[in-house]
This record gives sequence, C-alpha cells and structure tokens, in this order.
Amino acid sequence: MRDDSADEAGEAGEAGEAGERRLTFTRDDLERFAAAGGDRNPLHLDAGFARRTPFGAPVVHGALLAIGMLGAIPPEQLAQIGTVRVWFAAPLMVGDAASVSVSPSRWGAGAWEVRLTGRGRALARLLAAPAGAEPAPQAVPAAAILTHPMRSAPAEPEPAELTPGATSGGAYATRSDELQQLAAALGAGRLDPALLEGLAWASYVVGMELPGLHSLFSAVTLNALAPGAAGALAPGAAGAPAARHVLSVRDHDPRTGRLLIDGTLFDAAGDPRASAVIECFTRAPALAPDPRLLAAGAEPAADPGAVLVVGGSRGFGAALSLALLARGYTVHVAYSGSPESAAELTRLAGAGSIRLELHRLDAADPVALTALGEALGGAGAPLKGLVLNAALPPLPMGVTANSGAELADYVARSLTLAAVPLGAMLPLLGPGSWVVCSSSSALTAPPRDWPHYVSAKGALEGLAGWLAAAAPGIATVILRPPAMRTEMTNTPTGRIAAAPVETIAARLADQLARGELPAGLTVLEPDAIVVAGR
Amino acid sequence: MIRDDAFEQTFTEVLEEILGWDLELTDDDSPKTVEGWDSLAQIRLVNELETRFGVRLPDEALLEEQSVGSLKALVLEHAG
Repeated sequence: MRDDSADEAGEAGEAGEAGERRLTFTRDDLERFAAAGGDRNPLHLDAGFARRTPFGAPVVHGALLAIGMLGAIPPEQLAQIGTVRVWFAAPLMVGDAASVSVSPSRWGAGAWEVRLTGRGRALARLLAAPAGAEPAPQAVPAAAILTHPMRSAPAEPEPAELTPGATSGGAYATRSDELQQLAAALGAGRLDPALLEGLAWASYVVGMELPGLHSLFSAVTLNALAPGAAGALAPGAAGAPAARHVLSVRDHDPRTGRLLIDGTLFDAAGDPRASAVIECFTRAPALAPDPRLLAAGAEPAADPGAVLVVGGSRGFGAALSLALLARGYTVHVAYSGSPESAAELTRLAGAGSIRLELHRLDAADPVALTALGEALGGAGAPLKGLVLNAALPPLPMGVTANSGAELADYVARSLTLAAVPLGAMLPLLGPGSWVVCSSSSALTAPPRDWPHYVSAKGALEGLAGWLAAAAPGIATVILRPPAMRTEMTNTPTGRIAAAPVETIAARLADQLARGELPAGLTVLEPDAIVVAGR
Repeated sequence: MIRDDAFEQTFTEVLEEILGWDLELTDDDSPKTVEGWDSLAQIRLVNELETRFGVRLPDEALLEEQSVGSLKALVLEHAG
C-alpha cells in the first residue's frame, strides 16, 4: 500500500495538528489483510465475483481504510484512543488513491475526526476518542458462544439467522504480527492492539459471518475493553489476543437489508477484548431474468434476422437477449466479463439456444469488433438489429476540480463501449434495421452521486441523434428505462423501487418484432413514446 | 403525537447522532445543504426515527429526497 505521508507519520507530532495524506492499496495489500484478519470475502479478492456486483471491481476492505485513516492521527495521541466510530459512504477501489485529512474533533477532549475523500466525494468518516468518550456497550454474554471454527469461506446465512435476537459466534483470531506490520506501514503502529484486532474482526464478521458472502460493511462503533474487567475501557494494555467472539442481531430492515449487530470479542480466558456495534447491509444477488416471463405472449417477429446485443450476458441485456430469442431472432451476444453469466444465459435460453451465439470480447476493442462484424457480414444477410447496452458500473462520484478528469474519463470510456460496436456494425445496418441505445431515466432525474453516469448517457443520446440524422432509414431507438432490478441497482436504496427487467425487455422486444418503431429517432420512456426527427 | 418540545428534542438527538452534532439544522435543511447526508445516512435516519418514535415510515422516506421538515411531517403523520 502507498501512504504518501508515511515518512511523516512519526513527525505529525504535536496534539492539535491537522494534516493530509494520500492512501492507495494494491491487490497484495488486500491479500495480506485478508490473511491477517480472516476476511476473505471475494468482493475484495476475486475480480470475477466483484465484477458481478454494483462495484464492478474489487473493493478495499473498509477496516483497512479505517486503519489507514487512524494512521493520520499523531502517534502519541493515537496511543490514547480507546473508541473508534467509522462510517463508510462509498468504496475505494484497488489501485485508486484517496485523500485523508485529520483534525481535532469536538466530540471530546483528545478526540479526532478523520475524513477520506476520493472521486470528488467523501468515502469515509472516522471519529476516534480516548477511553471514556462513550459509555461501553453491554458485552454479549460469553455463555452464548458457539463453537464453530473460523470460516475460510463466507457464510450464506438463512433468514432466521438475520432476525433480531439471533445469536451466533465461534472462534476468531488474527495473525497479530502481520496485522501489526500492516498497521505500522500505514502509520498506525501505536493503535491499541485490541482496536486493531477489533477492526479486523468487524471486517471478518460482515464479510464472512453475518451476512457473509453478499454483504456491505457500512459502519462500526468499536471499543477496546480491559482484560479481566468486563465493560471497562483501558486502551494501551496489550492484553491477551482474541480467541472467540459472540454476535447478536439487534435489528434487520428487509426493505434495505440493513443489519445492526452487537458483538463482543473475547480472549482465550473468556475476558472481553473489544465490543462493537456493527452496521452492514445484506446484498441478495439480483435474480437472473425469467425466460418464461420474457416469452409469455411473444409472437414471432415479422422479419426476424440476426441481431447483436452488446453487453447482453447479464441484467437488462440478458433479458432483452432472451426476449428477442423468444420472438425468433438469431441473437449474437457480446460480453466481456463473466463466463458464468454467459453459461447461465445459454441455460436460460433453453431450446432457443440454438439461435444464440456468444462472443467474449471487449466492446471497446476495434480489432475484436471489426472481426465480429466481418464474421456476421460473411453470413450474407444484413444485421437486423444492434443493441448498445455495454456500460461501466457507476461508483458514487462528486464533481470537484480534482474529480473532473476522472468524470470525463468515465464518459469517454463509456461512449467507447457504444461507438466502437456501432462503427464496426454500421456497414451491416441498412433500411429496416434498428439500433437500440440503452440510456436511462437518470438523464431526466439525475441522481446526485452519478454525474458521470448521467453525462455518459447524454453522450450516448448525442451519438444516437447523429445516427438518426446520418442514417435516416434506420430506426434509432433511445431507451430510457427506469431503474431495473439488476446488479447495478443492487444497493441499499436502489433495490426498493427497481422495476423487473422482464417487463421492460419484453415490451421493447414486442415493439421491435412488430416493426412498430419507425425509421428515424424514437425516444422510449417508461410510459410514453416520443417520436422525433424522421 | 404532537410536535412539542419532547418531539423536537428526540428528533434533534437523532439528527445529531446520524449527521453530526455541530450542524444546527433547520426544517429547510436537506441532503442538498448537509454534507454527509447521503443515501446511507438517509437509511440510518429513517431506521433510527422509526425506533425512537415507534413508527413505520413509508418507502418514500427512503426513496425520495427529504428535508428535516418533511421527515418530521412523515413521523407525525404515521405516529399513533
């Protein structure tokens, strides 16, 4: 990991000083933290798994960020810290840099506030205070400890295990030397070992136990406890290392998946080491599209032919691919990431899979798309339709001077995923063909955290407008669906009002199959059709 | 439930707990005016208000941008 103020960690010095530093983490750092603390959730370690989440790529462990943030506190003051509260607002991705700023806090004497910013917005906020700043939470009774060993693979708990009052627990231990080395490299070598273990433990609880595999760690309040005196706060005493833990679900909101967990970490003698209130979210994976819903009432297309769906292995793209198959089209699906998703699409297609062709390629690669175009053109018939649905996951972002370039880069990379396939397939399109550009209702109601996504969809619509003018015989369709139940919207609030993908996909496929969409530009919005510019 | 001093004090405690204690918020304050009032903070606010006031708020409390004032109105509307 890279801490641009590492050399100054011992010099930040005097109480009351504020400062700024930058943090970056590599895949190796995450592997080391996972080995030291036990949180081996694939969201942090497996690019293929992470790709199928709203984040699109591996995410740095929140607890590791917290250790890095604590490292910004002057070492002598850090050694006095007995309570840590941290809230994670948005993820930091492997390889990305974030800025850390620290200042004394009005929470209490000797308290510090640390903020982590990146992508033009706040990523995390941390408050740290000496022992006694907060009353120690009630330790969960040791008698409730169960005996299961530490997990090497994340749990997938049953719903009953998430209900308020449910208790669990078992063995927990860190590789404390390795954890201490990580902390020291981040400038947090003076952090109370109980707090260091506690942060690793909280990460393990969320990522491996509750809710385990499909989880999001959002906040924790952590207190170091003195050995031999349940509930007393005494930072600095090294104590015996952790050996066991107990967890109790305090609350679970099924609307958002928010879980509140009370936990206590014990040493081998059964003395409490640390206590925590952990906030996290369950993230039930988005379901695969239902081919029965997509085929229900489907009539064969009047003029079926070959279509290409770019970004068609998951989510709305997969649903539309299945809907078009059900209406008699031969569907070529271009996808870049997940062979598992592609295999699932073949399975869902059932008998229709004989008209399904999968092409694993990077939609931004002109060589690959040109080759695909030549292969499709070699079949002799023009391309009936093209769906430009490949998109980049929109991580929350703010607009600042420093994030402007990152925003513009996102727009450029997103537009490339449409412009390259369009450019490669244009020679195969002609009068009677259609092109669908997957835009979004976000364009007319921009979410605050997605300026880059909204800008990218605006650019895509601009390209569609050009196409309609340059090739007026083609039916160019801008689709602005509402938020749909896909992995991209599988966030705490995104999942509440999301529409089923099948509804939107089936309706569009019917309109295409019936030839209802005229040549020129059409904008399709959830409950209205606007026809513009024939 | 009426909007009395006890209501206001409890409400303020929740706001301070979730959003910070040095903000001195008014009914007009919203995510547009309060740094850190993001979607996760909104979820925490709704859950804590539901716990403290013993109410179940509608999904719009989670989905639509709220202000301090509109959240107070929702709590009063849905309280027993």
